[in-house]
Amino acid sequence: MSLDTPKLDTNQRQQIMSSVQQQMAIQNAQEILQKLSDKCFKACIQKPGSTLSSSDQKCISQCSDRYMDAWNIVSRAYGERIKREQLRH
Amino acid sequence: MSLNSLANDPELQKFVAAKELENQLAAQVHHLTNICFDKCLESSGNVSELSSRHTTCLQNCVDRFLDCTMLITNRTIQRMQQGR
Repeated sequence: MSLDTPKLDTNQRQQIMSSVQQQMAIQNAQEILQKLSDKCFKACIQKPGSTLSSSDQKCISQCSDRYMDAWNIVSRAYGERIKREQLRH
Repeated sequence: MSLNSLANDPELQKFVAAKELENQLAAQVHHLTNICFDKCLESSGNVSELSSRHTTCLQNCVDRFLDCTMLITNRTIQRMQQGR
């Protein structure tokens, strides 16, 4: 058993870091898509019909836009709160 | 490239720690958006634009929820210290 484990070279490290980054981005996107579908289906489709009417589609589109707007506002507010808390302590 | 190389690489360790923190923060934002969308936009989630009232509600919601969490945390710690 050797005590010297082979070191990662720069290339390998970069690859791993990119891959982790990508995975996180995908996970994030999946989470948002899941929430969007849940929220907007609930808000827009009261009685499921045999198709999505054009007013259903409009409602869903706007709902998903508003949810993303809300996500951005919440993200900013949360970041600012964290900064404020850091300054206090 | 062994798992040992991965685990012992200091730069990678720093990167992973930073990413975990980033993940936790993102999870919090998802959670807060979920709650505050319902609270602030429940019936009007499909308007064509968020009004300033909506925006203010969302901002307040984030702060009040975090205040709530902190209050509960402190109270719970107090209880545990008092041995109840």
